[in-house]
Amino acid sequence: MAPLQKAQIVKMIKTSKEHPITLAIGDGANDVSMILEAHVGIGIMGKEGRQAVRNSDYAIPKFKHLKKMLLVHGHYYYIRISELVQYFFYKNVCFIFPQFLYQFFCGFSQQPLYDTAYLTLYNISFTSLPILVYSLMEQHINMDILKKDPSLYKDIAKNSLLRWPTFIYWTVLGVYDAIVMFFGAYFLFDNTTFTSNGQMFGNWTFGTLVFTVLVFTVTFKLVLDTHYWTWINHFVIWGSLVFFVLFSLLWGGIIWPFLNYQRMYYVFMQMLSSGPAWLSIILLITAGLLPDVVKKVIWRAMWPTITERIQDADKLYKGQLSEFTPLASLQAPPKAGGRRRGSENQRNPRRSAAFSKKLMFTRWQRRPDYCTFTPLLRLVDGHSPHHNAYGGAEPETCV
Amino acid sequence: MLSAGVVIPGFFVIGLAFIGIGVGLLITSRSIQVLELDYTGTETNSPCYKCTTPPVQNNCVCKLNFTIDTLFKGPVFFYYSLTNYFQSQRKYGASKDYNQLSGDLTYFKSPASDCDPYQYANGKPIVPCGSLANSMFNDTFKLYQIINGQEKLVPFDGKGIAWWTDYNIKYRNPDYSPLKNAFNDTVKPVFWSKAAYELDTSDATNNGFVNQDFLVWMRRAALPNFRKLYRRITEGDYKDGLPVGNYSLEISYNYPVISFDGTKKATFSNVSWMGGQNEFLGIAYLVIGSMCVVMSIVMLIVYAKFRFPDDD
Repeated sequence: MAPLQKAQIVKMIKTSKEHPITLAIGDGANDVSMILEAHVGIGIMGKEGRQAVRNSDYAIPKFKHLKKMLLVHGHYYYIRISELVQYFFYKNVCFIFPQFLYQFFCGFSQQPLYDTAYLTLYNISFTSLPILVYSLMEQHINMDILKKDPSLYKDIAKNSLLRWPTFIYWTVLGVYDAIVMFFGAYFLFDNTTFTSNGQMFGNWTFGTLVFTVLVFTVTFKLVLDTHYWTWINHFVIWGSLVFFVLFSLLWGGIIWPFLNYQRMYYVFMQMLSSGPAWLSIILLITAGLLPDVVKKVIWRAMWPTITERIQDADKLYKGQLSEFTPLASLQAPPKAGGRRRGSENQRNPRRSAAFSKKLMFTRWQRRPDYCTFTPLLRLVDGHSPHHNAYGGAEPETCV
Repeated sequence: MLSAGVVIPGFFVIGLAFIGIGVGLLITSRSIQVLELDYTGTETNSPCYKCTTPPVQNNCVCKLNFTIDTLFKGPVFFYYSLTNYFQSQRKYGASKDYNQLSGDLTYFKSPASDCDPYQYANGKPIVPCGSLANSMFNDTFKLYQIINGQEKLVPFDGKGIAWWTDYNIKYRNPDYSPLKNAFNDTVKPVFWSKAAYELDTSDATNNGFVNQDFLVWMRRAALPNFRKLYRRITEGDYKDGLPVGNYSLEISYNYPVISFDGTKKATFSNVSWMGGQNEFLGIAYLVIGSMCVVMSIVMLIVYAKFRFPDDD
């Protein structure tokens, strides 16, 4: 076929009724037009030279690598980027909405709720690394399961994670968290002291209390969303929180000579010296995260997606699931009896025994390595023993 | 991570713990006594009405009589409350010069421009400059217990009402002796009746910028209805509290609030480990705790019903 004809076919599919996202793959110079025309163009480093590769978005050495690229890497990237986008909007709604609410109580004079250092560093230092590491490393389902079951792709088809309903959910959650944080602190401050020496706190203590609850709430939200824990995740998440506390202690602990105001001096320590402040921080974090946790658990029990069922099964069998496990048995329709679904119920050995009759388990051997170099992120932590069982199933950034 | 096996018992335990904490907080809060006396003087039958009607006199003194029915346990904290007062307004709260207040004499001569319009008066720099200092609360209070028709003064303790760090580190008087000379060629704030070095002539450690009342005022309140600590009743016959009896609060009414629909109140309160009387935290803990318990039961039912419909 001529290059133009190939491109025209792709164009025809692109403009068809459903307006699908198209992918074109080729290895020769005559494939260049269609690679350029399609949304995603993949070039194979073939015998016919590097023309296709030069014009493509992604290049692979062999055609068979397409499978892993689509089913594993493409799937991961989508999950990661959709969470990144949603989480960024969410954490900034949580950040700014209390400032907006405060305007009703400061005469609409644009008085900031938080100190300028907090305003500056929130998105740079306190909440940036956790989501960055998530969006580089998250694996919601094991690679091998993704490879052998393409129907998992259905869960993310048609850009499902970035549609309006999901976005509205995240935004409503952000607004709810902001209201909880702000009014929790507001009623705590309500015209009374909450120190044991009778002294009153000021507006910077108020803002710092809201900010502390904010940083911890959004970080714990990410903790709840993370499935694949490595030592890097732990390091950046707990490290960000520790950094926030240390920074606040340092910022308020010294009279900094380059500042022409000292409004934050000792504010953080004074806040921490009050028992009710601690109690309200714990309460407000819990109240903020409560609806999301409840929604997740109930939705997972009542309307689990294929992805969630696989995740539960994977956790239940702790990595014993192998390439030979017929996953069809795990994808029973919702109304079917519970016995065919993977569940965490280890209290009922009879049910597990019934399950195991339908599955074969194999102990996994070390798999051949597709990588041509050792990936930087080949790190396994102790929290995911099932990845150890797979041998070569650590996060690979190469194909 | 969010497996039901972890979440359901976790929620239940958290719920019970929160309910326990909530009950403890509510009990503590209920045991705190608060007595609030409004003395704005807008009603004609208020003892302070005479201080609000024109012609407004200076140093108008009004007396509020009240009785205490049960022992008001000590130590008793005495606050003044203001409503509809936006100390949190941005320009107002930023209108001060920290360098002046930390005793730097160069800023006595040229106050920061943030203090505008209370930066210079009659060509001379104002010390301390700015609206925040200028609007310092200047009502004073004396409390008497009426015993057999005689007034007995209840001693007030004005030490330690401001943050320790404000008093010792953040605010410093200029290094001058006598303090008055540091203020040469400056004027006092427009609304003040006494200059900064006359705030407490009897006690040099409470004079100038480290005056406790001044420090309490300079710590901006977060919300428009706030309370600030004035004195504590801790000494002498009253260290166990205010006994049952009749009392008379003598107020030197100087601070005008009626023009912006504000109110002034004098508040007596005792304080526990959790501070003043605030039922919010206890109630919130109870609510969240019970919701956690209810949610864990709901999740358990949903989980049992949809995961294990029938047993073999």
